[in-house]
Amino acid sequence: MAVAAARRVRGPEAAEARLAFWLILPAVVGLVAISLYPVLQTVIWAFQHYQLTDPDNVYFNGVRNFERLARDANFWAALRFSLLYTVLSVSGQFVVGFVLALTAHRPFRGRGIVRAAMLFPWTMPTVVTAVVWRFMYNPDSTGLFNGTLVNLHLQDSIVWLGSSATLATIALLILAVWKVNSFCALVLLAGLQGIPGDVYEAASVDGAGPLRQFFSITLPYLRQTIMVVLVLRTVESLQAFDIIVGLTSGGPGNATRNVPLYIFERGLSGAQDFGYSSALALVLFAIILVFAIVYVRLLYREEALA
Amino acid sequence: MNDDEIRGLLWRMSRRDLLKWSVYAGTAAGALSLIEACGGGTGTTTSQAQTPADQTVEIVYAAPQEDSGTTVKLVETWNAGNPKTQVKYQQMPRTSADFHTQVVASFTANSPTPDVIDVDVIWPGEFAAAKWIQPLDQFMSDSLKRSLFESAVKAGTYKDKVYAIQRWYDSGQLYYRTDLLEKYSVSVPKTMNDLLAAARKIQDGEKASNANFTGFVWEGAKIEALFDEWLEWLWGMGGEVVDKDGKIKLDTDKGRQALQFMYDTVYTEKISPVGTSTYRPADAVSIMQNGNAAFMRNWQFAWNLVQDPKQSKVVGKVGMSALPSATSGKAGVGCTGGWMLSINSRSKYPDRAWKLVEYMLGQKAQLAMAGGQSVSPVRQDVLSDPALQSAASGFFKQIGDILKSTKGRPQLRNYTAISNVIQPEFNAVISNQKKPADGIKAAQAAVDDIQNS
Repeated sequence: MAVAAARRVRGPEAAEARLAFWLILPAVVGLVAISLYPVLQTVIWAFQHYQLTDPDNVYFNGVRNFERLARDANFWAALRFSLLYTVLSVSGQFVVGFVLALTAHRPFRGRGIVRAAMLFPWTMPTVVTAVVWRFMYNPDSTGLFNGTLVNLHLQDSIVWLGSSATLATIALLILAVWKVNSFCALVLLAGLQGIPGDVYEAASVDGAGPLRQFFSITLPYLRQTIMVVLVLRTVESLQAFDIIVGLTSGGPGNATRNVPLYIFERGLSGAQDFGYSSALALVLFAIILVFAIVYVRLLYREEALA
Repeated sequence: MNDDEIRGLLWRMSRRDLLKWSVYAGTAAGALSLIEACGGGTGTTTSQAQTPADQTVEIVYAAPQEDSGTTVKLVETWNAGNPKTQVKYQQMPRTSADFHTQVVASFTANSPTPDVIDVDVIWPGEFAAAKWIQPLDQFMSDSLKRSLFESAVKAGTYKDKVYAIQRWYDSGQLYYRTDLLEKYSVSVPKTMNDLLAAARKIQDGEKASNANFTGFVWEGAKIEALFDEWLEWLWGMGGEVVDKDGKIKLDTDKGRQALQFMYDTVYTEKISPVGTSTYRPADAVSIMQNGNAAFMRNWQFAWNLVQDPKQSKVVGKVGMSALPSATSGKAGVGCTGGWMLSINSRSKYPDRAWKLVEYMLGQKAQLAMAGGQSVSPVRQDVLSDPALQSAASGFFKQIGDILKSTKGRPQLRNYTAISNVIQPEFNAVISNQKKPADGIKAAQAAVDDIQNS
């Protein structure tokens, strides 16, 4: 549009528009190359029979991949686990993070150190923590948890990651909450610091107790922040991959395999069925898109309010 | 143009013009480099033409990292003797699955390197079907073929063509505590029932003084070894996994019995720990090293680890043998593993690449590799070499007999995919979430889904 306008109008404004066009162009080219191209490629593959190990048989097969997906019990199991994991891990991270934020918000000695320490789990690479936690969950006394339980004579060894779906899911959730609650805490803390202190003073004068203050002042003031935290965490939890690969690899059996892991298995680790895994990726994309739209809406509303 | 003129030009040029032209230049450069990058992707398979003998080339050899430094030395020796073909050793991940991901990434990017690739024994079918590696029949001389074990060539054959040649062997085998066998006067188990009985007897006796003691330790995690172990017990019962149409058939009487046997060791006979469902090969080794197991099923690499005084409490107290079978009088079958040599279809210098393959399979390199890395060579003249036979570890003295009763996994274009869907189903059984019959039925359904897609 800038160019079209520039052709009709002459003068300094046109020159400005032309310049703007050329200034933006590199960014657009870059974006198309590294962002749009792979997305379009995935969409095309989703409608193809395309397996790397069968290079002579690549053809468009309509919605066959999606029909297969609808009948694929493994996909539905993975989706169910994705949703379960998302709901539970986000709630856990949020609640623990909120408590941490409220604690760190209050003035006390050594608060700076506590705030820095709080962030520690979040700053470590996910795969590294997941693998370390796998060792800590070792089934015999070499694992930290079992070693402690056994040495204190509290309990026989527990096979955390290989005896039941529930236990493995709990083990994974503990790690997920430990790893990311500090991120929630950080964002919520920033929100807390934005609440003017005199509001609380006024409430105290009016005789409101701490609980009343929390529900009537803190929560309403933090509404936007809370929504942003929840949506961001939800989107990321739906995409969770490294944390699960590192800890359980989706096991025992397929009990902790989520959609991203299933896409990886179908597309890259062995099956090399790019057509089918692209279809799976597209479905996951659609689900995440819903949350992304909610997120963008929230941000805009925040801008409008500000 | 003198300085004054340049200064004059710069004066006339506004700042905005300068900015504008730098943007033009930047955009053009960016676009060109993009085209260049894409251009590389359209290349096709390079012809087999000979590289002129006097041309100096560099070829890349991708092989897993290893600690002994033997591979580095082998490549250095080659480079010293072959100034015209310099080899760069590209160290790849030790974990087969990670190596696979990386090398598939370079194949799909149509990269002409690495030229020579060490491939896991289960990959040739897949890589050949995708046309990523090339047939080696045209290069291979009869004399080379004769000098290798027959299975070294057979294992890399896909649709009647040789795509990969074994560089060294691995195999599943039985490790046992010689001191405990003597203490409880039991002999090395020859049948699966013998193994159960012996493990039970020793476990009952040792448990009194060592609560962590277990009769038989093996790998039940969701990894390739889990499927391999099932194959071993299946083969040991005389079963087969590939039916007459070339399809994978798990759900047979013997298939169910094999999985039932694995399940029973943990839950019925209770000679294997409940943690088995999470054990990888290294976990089993550490249990053995700590003196907490009477028997272990593991790969050959475990030998040096249990005999290493720095980390093992059972040095000199461990022996190894072929796995037990279902019936006495017949040795059980170990599943072969290890790595094979192959050549990238897009290699620019296939003739030079083959020279490197030949060198790696030659007597000198094989002897250096076997001794340095403690792995089984693929040549009889190397295996029977006095230097190896008298080696202090005793490894090569025992390995010959074990290698005689081994079998390779089927070469399939979608082997990894098939194994990947079997592993979780079997792991669900070993973690007691499914009964063996249900697990094998589910695994068969998942395999059929891939075979029919």
